Parts: sequence; structure tokens; C-alpha cells
Amino acid sequence: MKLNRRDVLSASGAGLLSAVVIPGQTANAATTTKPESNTHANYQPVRTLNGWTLPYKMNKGVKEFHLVAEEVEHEFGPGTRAKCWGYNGTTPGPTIEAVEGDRVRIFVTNSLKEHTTIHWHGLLLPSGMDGVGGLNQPHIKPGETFVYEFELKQHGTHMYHPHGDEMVQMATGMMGMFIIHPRKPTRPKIDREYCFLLHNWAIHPGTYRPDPTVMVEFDLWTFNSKVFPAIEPLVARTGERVRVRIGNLSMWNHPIHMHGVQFQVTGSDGGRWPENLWRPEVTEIVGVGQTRDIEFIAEPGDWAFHCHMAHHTMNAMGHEIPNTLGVDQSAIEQRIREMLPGYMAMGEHGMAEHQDHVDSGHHAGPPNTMAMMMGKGPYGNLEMGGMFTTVKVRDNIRPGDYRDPGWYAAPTNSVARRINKNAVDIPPPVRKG
Amino acid sequence: MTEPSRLGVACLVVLGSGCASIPSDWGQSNVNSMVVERRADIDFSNTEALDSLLSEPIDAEQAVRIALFNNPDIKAIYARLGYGAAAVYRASRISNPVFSFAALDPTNVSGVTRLSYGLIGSFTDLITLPQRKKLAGAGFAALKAEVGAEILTLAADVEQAFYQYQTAQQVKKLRKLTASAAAVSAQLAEQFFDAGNISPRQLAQAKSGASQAKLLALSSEADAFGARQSLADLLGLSVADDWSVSGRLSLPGSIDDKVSELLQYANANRLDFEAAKQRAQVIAERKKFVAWSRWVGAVNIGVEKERESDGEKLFGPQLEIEIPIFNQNLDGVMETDAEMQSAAATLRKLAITIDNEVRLADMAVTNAKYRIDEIRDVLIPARVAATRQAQLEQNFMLIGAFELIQSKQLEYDSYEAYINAIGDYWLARVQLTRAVGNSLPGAAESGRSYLDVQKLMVPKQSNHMHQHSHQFGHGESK
Repeated sequence: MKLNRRDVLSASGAGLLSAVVIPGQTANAATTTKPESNTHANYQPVRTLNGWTLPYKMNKGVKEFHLVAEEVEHEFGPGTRAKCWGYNGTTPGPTIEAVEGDRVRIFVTNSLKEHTTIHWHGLLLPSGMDGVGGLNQPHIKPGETFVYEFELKQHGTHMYHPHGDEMVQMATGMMGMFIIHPRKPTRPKIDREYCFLLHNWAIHPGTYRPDPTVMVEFDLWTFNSKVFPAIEPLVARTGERVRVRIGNLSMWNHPIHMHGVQFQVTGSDGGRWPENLWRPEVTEIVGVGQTRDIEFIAEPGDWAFHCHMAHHTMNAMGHEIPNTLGVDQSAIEQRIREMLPGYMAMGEHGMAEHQDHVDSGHHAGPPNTMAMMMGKGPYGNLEMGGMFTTVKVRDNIRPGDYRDPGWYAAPTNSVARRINKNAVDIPPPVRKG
Repeated sequence: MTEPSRLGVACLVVLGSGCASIPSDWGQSNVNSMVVERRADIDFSNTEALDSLLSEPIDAEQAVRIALFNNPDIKAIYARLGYGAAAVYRASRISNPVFSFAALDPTNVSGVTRLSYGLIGSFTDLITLPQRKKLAGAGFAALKAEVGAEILTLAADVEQAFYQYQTAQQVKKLRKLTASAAAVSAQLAEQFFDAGNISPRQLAQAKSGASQAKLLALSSEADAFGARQSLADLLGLSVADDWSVSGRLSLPGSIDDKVSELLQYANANRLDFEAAKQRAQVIAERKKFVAWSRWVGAVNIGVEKERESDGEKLFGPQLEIEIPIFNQNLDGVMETDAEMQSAAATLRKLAITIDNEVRLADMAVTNAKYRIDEIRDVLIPARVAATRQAQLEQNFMLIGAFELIQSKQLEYDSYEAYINAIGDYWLARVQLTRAVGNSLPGAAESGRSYLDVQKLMVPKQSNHMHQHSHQFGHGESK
């Protein structure tokens, strides 16, 4: 296995871990690892999309983790990088995975230039461990290391994030998932688990740092700090039961929609819900500060999986730019080009043409800025960005294999096709009015 | 030889020695030499015909050359030399002798008509001749300096008018371009409005913006025409004639003249200052002259011959002496005193004015140069970069076309500022040349390079194929 930075960090554990346990999979690994714990736990490790799980060290029955709050360099997708803040070299930070009943000891070192804390979102723990700076604890000053220690009295999908200068530190990327598996395995058995955090960023075109002063008009919408086409697909074998754990630490609610299946909403940071509370949905709104678990039986095919706010599935686009729909610029385009040789009129018939112009090199953009619509599928442009990825289900994917299987080869006659409308007897369209 | 003959010869000698030489051109070539000593770039030759000079766009030097033979006032300026020449002529002459004759018939019939002949001339003129000649000569020299100063002023006026016209012409072109951009924006707004995508208010705002830009362009047309008229007047041409000025704007050189050096030049070379000094000197000499001549009075000498009525003939010298009892020409003394004081005050004022003019003009030149540097090295590149980046943002639909066009208009504004700054520089240099009264020490360095305004206005072709970001190229992909 080729080691990347995360693997090295996992192995070294920021210098404090001697007996390192790597629970589950690091990025690109294709095997499961049975974790150790002080209680029975034979859980399906969660795969963090584009991310990783923090290793721990057992120390006299206590799982010890070490988080380092620091500035990180992060790529949102090919063409956009920024100086963000995160944990242990990444944003979001590594997923903490443990088992209900575990005692955890989490060291937090602050390598930022301002103070910080960590709040364990949704966890039931002593007041002094709750992580609200000034309320529950002194702030962790630059250079200091604090320790949090508590017993995990619950299971569910949780998150962690700062509670010191919270708005800035979250806006710049400081957050992570905290998954607590139940003490006893639940039924039905989960074959694959994924988790990701929803977030939003103001990376103004041409800049290299998130702007924490933006409250509403964001530029990038991410799953685990990645935008399409850089978000990994969710891969599964046909018939597997897949759980996706979603946390939302953005500033907006997100209707998360999956194509091809009806999933069940089965849990949250309140833990796995009783089955009588499960809801069948195809879209689930994950509110700000909420987590949701959805489960489905994988159906073969390539299925879009995305936030249903259409502008959240685009990369940066101008807010309130003049509406070009229906505007005929044919008489004036050349005059504009005489003073601006690179000018090309766009948008009269919609924005679909934009991706072609960008992909062909006609339209260069500002530095460090991805085009608003990107990605190519087997049948053409996907015209997506932001909070969009795919669920790829194949009959022949082996358990534990998370590699991208490529595009789905649909069976013959199961793909929408063009017809010769003059040759085929089709009913005339009915119009109102 | 009889006494009368000797006296007559003496008079002739004196008369002969009083003649002074006056140049046939009344000193014009003298004046021109003084001017060329100070402004070697000024060319008095008018060997090239006017039509030939005007067949191509003219530069500042050619404009001055044309003015020196075609300006309507030039002849009047040089004509003033005639007054000085006349004064020299007058001063180098003594008054004409006066011949008197009387024929008196006696009352008794036995006598013959008494005849009396007299010839008398001014002795005062004779003894004051050298001093008067000297004073007139000094006055003529001062006048030549004044005329020279007027020629230099004319040259400076022509240069000023030239640069004003040249700048106005280029600004006119730029404003037309800006107006065109605004018109394009308004036309685009109409398309948006027709599509139902902007409000009537937004359309009206776009149209008003275009109209205001057009008004500025029209105003610059009028300004350019006014500047053309000013130059035409100085060149003795009609605004309607077919002539033009070069569109190439000269750029400043790198040499900065030192103020101390410029002040020395001004003190040594300002012809109006030189003329004022000479005038003061003339007054000082005249004061000396008045000081002793006021006691002399009018003295006339001559001869008289009479034939008495009894036939006796008498002949002998004649002498008239004014006795300064009641009037010792104190008024003349007071007048020259007043003139002295006035001349001293004028000199002092001129010295202060020249000093201040040089310093102010030098500051204006330096300031204009700094503005040119700032606009060329900072403002224009920033505006060009802003437009380029705006184009990239518009490519990605991050901004709209209106904002892009606005960026281009701001770019045009920066070119206009550049042209105005260059114009201001040359106008300031003209003022400095005026103030110094001489070509500037660094003149040879300036004007060697040119700004081609036409090239400035032509947009560079875009090259979208090779846009790279090198600002954040490190780090690994995740």
C-alpha cells in the first residue's frame, strides 16, 4: 500500500502514540481491520469520504486520541486550494471512532495563533468536558495541550468542532466526525458505512483563504471539504446494506437527495432510532447542527447523490450577476470584442454551454477558481459542482473494496435513447392554454 | 583761412564726428543671436516654405519656426527696434544750426537797407553729445534685450499652445473611446431590457451613463478646437486650413535639472531681467548726466554778419548762454531719482518673481514627472490587470458584462490621466524654460522617446490557453 501523508501521520500519531491502532481504513486502503477496544466491538468501521480515521492508543483501558488544531493547506478540487484551519493536517479533521462504553482520553494541542477549544457535539459528558471556552473550561492558548476525558454513554453520529472564536474557526474548516458504535451490533447488519460533513465556504474567486465574515453568500459547498468532481463516490456491492452518516456544520440546511433508492432515515446524534421511528425518504433535510443516518439497499447503477439546492451543486458563481437568459447579444458582441478581445456572449439559452467553453479552453477563469459546472460522465457533461457525488453499485464489488469501479455499463435497452420523431408514431404533446 | 572758414570747418568736423552707425536691420540679427544663445533649438531660418512645413503633422520645434516668420505680431515686435535706432540716431546728432537773416529799411532815405545774417548752433549739444550717444546706445541695447525677451516669450507661448492642442487632441480620442464603451454598455442594457431581465430604472441608468460619457467626449472636442484656435492665432494660420500636429507624445528624459543650476541660468540669461538691469544702468548714467548738465544751461555759439544802414559791414562771433538762475533743472534731477527708485524696485521685484517662477515651475515639472511614473508604472498596469481579471471572472460568470465594460472604461480613464500628465509635464517644462530664460540643461535628454497613443488604445489580444496560478502551487493533492 502506498503511504500518503495521512498514513504517515496515522503511524506517527503526532509523536505521542507508541502503540498505534489504525481502526478501519485509511484512504485508498481496501481491507478492514478488526479494532481493539475495552468492550466488545466488532463494528463495521466507517469510511470517511476523502478523509481518514484517527488512530488511538490503548492506555490502561482508555482509548487515547491526539488532535492538533493547526493551519492546513487544502485542495477543494482540481484548481482550488486554500489555507484553511483543521486538525492533524486535514479539514475536516480525522474521524474519531469509538464504541459505546469506551473511556476516551483526547489530547488537544493548539498550534493556531489564537486560542481554541473543542466541543463534542451531542455527547453526554461532564460539564467541564463540554468544551465551551470560558464556560466549561479555560481556552487552550496557542502552544498549549489540554486533555478531555470522559466515558461514552451513548452511540450515534456526532461531530466535534471548536467553541472558541467558533464562527471563524468553523468557517475556516475546523470540524470532524465522532462516530460512536453501539455496544452490541445492531440489526439489520450494515455492510458498508460512510460518513461526511456538510460545510460551506467563502473562498472568493482569486483568493486563497476562506472569508469568515461571509454569513450567507457562500462560494463553495462541500462534502468533507471537497467539491465535485473531487468528492469520492460511495461504492457498494449490489444488495449490500449501506449506511451513510451525515453531519451538518454549515450555515445552511441541506436537503440531501439520493437517486435510485428509497432510504430509511434510521438515526442521528440521538443514536440509532427504534425501527418504528424510521422514515422512508428519498430526500432528507439535515439541519444546521444536526446529524442523520440513512440506510439503503444498494441497487446496481450509478446514482447521483447530492444536496437538492441547485446552487449547492455548483462551484463558485457570481451572486446577482445580470440575468443573461433570453438576451440576444448577436448585434453587440463584436463591438464589445473590439475593446475586450476575450469577450464571448453567454447564457442566452441557459448556462449549459459554459462547461464546453471552459473544457475547450476558451474561457480561462480567475486564479485558484474552479468552474461552476464540471465533470464528465459516460454520456456527456455532468455540469455539476459543490455537494454532488455518486453512489456506484456493482454486482461484482467485493466486500471492503472501496475503489471507484468506473462508469456503469447499463444493460442494453435500459438507457433513454433518441428516436426519429418522424419515423415513430408518438402521441402529440398536449399543452395548456 | 579766415576765421569764419575755420569756424565753419570746425562745425563740419563736429557734425561729422557726431554720426553713429545704425545697423540696417535695426539690430534684428543681434536680437536673434541673443535668442539663439539661450535657445539653440530655435531656428530663425525660414528656408522651408510654409506649405512644405504644414504638409506633415508638425512638432513643437516646427511650430516655433513657423511662428517666427508667420505670426501676425512678429513684425510689430521687431518694429520696436526702430524706436531704439531712432533714439540712437537722434542722440548722435547735434541740433541743426539756425540761420537768421534780417533786412531792415532805414527810416531816412539816404541810408541803405540794414542786413543782418546770423548762423548759430548749439554748443550744449556738442558738449553733451558723447554722453547722449552713450545713453542712447545703452537704451538701444536694453530695447534689444526686451525685444529678445518678447521673441522668447512668443516661442514659449507657441510651445504652450502646441502642447495644449496636442494633449487636447489625444484626450479627445480617448474620450471618444470611453463614450463608445458606455454606448456599448447602454446598447447591451437595451438587449437585457428587451429580454425582460432589467428594470426600466436600470435601463435609464445605463442610458444616462452613456449620455454623460458622450457629453464629456463632446466637451473635449470643443476643448480641442479651442486649443487649435489658440495655436492657429500664434502661427498666423486659419483653424480651417489643412494642418495638424503630431500625435506622438514625447516622454520625459531621465535627467532632473537642479534648482540651484536653474536659478543661476535664470539670473544670467533672462533677457527681461537683463533689459531691466540695463534700463536701470541707463537711468544711473542719465542721473550723472543730469547732475552736471543742469548747471550748464543752453549754450549756443555762432557767427553774425551785419551790413549797417550806413554801409558799414560788421562780422563776428555770437554767443548765447542760458543763465540757470530761476531753474537749475531740479525737476530733471527729481525725475531721474524717481526713475532710479522705480527701476530699483522693478529689479528687485523681478528678481523675486524670477526666483519664485523658477522654483514653482521646477516643482511642477518634478510633480508631473512623478505623476507620469506613477500612472505608467502603477495605475495603468493595475487597471489593465483589473480588466484582465474581470474578463476571467466574467468567463466564469462570476461577474456580468456590465462590470467588465466598466473595468475597461476605468482603464481608458487611466490612459487619459497618462496623456494629461504628459501634457502637464511639457507645459510645466515650457513654464520652466520661460522662467529660466534659456534652454533647460537637461533638454537634450527629454523627448527622445515617444508614447504612441494609438497603440495604447488598441486592446491586447487575449490568450486564454495558458492561464496559470503560480501563487499557491505547493502542497500535495488530496
